[in-house]
Amino acid sequence: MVFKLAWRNLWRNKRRTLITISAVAFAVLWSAVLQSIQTGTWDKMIDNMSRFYMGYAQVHSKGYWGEQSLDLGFEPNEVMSAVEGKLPENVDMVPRLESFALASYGLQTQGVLIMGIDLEEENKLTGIGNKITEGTFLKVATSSVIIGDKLAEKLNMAVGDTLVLLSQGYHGQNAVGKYPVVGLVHLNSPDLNKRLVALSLPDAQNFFGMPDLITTYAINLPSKKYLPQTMAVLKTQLDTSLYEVMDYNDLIPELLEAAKLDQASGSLIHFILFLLIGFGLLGTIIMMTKERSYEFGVLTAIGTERLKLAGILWIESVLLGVVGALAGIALCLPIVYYLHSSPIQLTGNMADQYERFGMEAVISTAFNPGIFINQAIIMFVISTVLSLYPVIKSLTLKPIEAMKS
Amino acid sequence: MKVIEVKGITKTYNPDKVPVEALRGVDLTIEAGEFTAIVGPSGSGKTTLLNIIGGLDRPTSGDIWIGGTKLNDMSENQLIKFRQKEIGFVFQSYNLIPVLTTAENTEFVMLLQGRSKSERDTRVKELLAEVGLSDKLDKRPSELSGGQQQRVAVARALAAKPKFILADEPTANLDSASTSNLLDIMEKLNHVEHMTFVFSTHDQRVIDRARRVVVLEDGMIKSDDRK
Repeated sequence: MVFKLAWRNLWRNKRRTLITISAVAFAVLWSAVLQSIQTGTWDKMIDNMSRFYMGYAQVHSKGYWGEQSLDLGFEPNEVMSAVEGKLPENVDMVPRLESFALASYGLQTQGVLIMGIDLEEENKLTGIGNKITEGTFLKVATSSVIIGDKLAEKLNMAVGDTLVLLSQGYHGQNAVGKYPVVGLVHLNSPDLNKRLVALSLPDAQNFFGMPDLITTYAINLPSKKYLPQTMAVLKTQLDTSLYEVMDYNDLIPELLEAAKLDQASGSLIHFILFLLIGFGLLGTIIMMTKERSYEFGVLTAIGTERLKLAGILWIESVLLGVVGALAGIALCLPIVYYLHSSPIQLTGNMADQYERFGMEAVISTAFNPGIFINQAIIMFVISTVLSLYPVIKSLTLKPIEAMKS
Repeated sequence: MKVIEVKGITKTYNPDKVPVEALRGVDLTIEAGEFTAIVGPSGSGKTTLLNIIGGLDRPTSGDIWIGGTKLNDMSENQLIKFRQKEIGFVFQSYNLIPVLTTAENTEFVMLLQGRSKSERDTRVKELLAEVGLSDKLDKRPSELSGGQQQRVAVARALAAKPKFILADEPTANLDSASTSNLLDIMEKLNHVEHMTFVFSTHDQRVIDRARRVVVLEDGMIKSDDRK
């Protein structure tokens, strides 16, 4: 009866209740969509970085990640034999030799990331072979390269042109070479598209003068859920005085920090939004309380305990907030789901802006139940806090005074 | 058996500013089964006396016992519980809960008392039959006439099986036919079930039917006649 009474009380002034619920629903819709876009964008970027480039984890020689020095290259067989058969099924170790170089074509020179890759394993991790937009993929030890499409644009190169690479190799050797560009690649990371030069692992080892050595094992997982188990195997099986095992939290801390910072600034916007809605809700709750003070007097006169009355008023306030939140969630679910399954590809200036910040020019959303549940919880908390007004009023109510007012 | 006993009741409003003495030493005893009208001009203290008897207001001085229980020392929450169990109220403007149906309004106090569903259902049907509203169980107050609403209020007051019913100007908003009908029901309840009724009223039709008439004037009992 208490719930029934509260629910029916809510609809005594249908128009006012509908306006209030709509306002809450709109705020929740706006907030959930914004949060989903924000989370989706960052998730996508982090996922792109970890799934399609870094791997969710990496193994290096101890100290390599800090120094990024080729001198800390290592024999891959040693690592492979230590973990072979112990990693979860479908977890692959993708060998790489990574360093930096100056790339030159004609009068243009550009700092680039050199990535020597195992063509088959790399393809499994990053699908790089399927991202060739022009030309062909690499072949083993053909002394050719593929480069990011944006880098080609910057250097004014096309497939068939020859790229000059200049760097420092293993233990200070000179590393110089000329490589024909056999293909242009477009990855999901705008940053990589601007600076990637990939060549087969033997070619890279040859270029840097470090045969049979690699700098990195990127770990290819079928999904993120295998990460804890994989990390545990790597950390127990490898000699951690010789090797460092890092997951994506260690590998891209700046990105994760930036995501947190952005989400914190987003939270401020959500806070202001909910503050405004809170005031709207408070207005309705105050009106609902004031205009029924005589009735509350009657209810206590006939024997309704003040705590029970407070309970009815609390349920009314919470219903107002939570029904609005649920309506908002119901409205935003199809929008978020649509954007999640069919991300919007940005073009023109907007796309440039995104890429300038190293983000893929795509509006995608995270279809994360946590976001929607949070909205409902926030509205529940707000309406509970706001219900303190009628609750306190009812707990201190004197029937005769209420009936006189 | 004494149902209500008030001794030396005074009530002064605004004692620190402009004091208004609403009651000035009222002594009154109501026995079980009485059908009493408290009458008097506006401002004579009728409603104040009823509020104090009903535990809705506290006297400035004097003592009040209901069924042998002294109300003076009870806390606000104890008074609410006491009213719920011992006193039925009928108000001038009916004061039904607008969002509940006739049956739900009647059931409401029993629900507060924690009575079982079957007991509530049976009693609601009995009571609404007694007040002649068996065919209006699912109607909301807005769908009933003033007289019908007041009959629901009587059924609600009776639902808790109280010791007595306090009715503050119960016929003030009713036409003659409704007044007569309501009084018939109350008289029947008084005769058949020996329910004690205490009214405050100026309505001569109520006064004519009352078996005891207490006249208040300037906060004091001027006369107390039993017919």
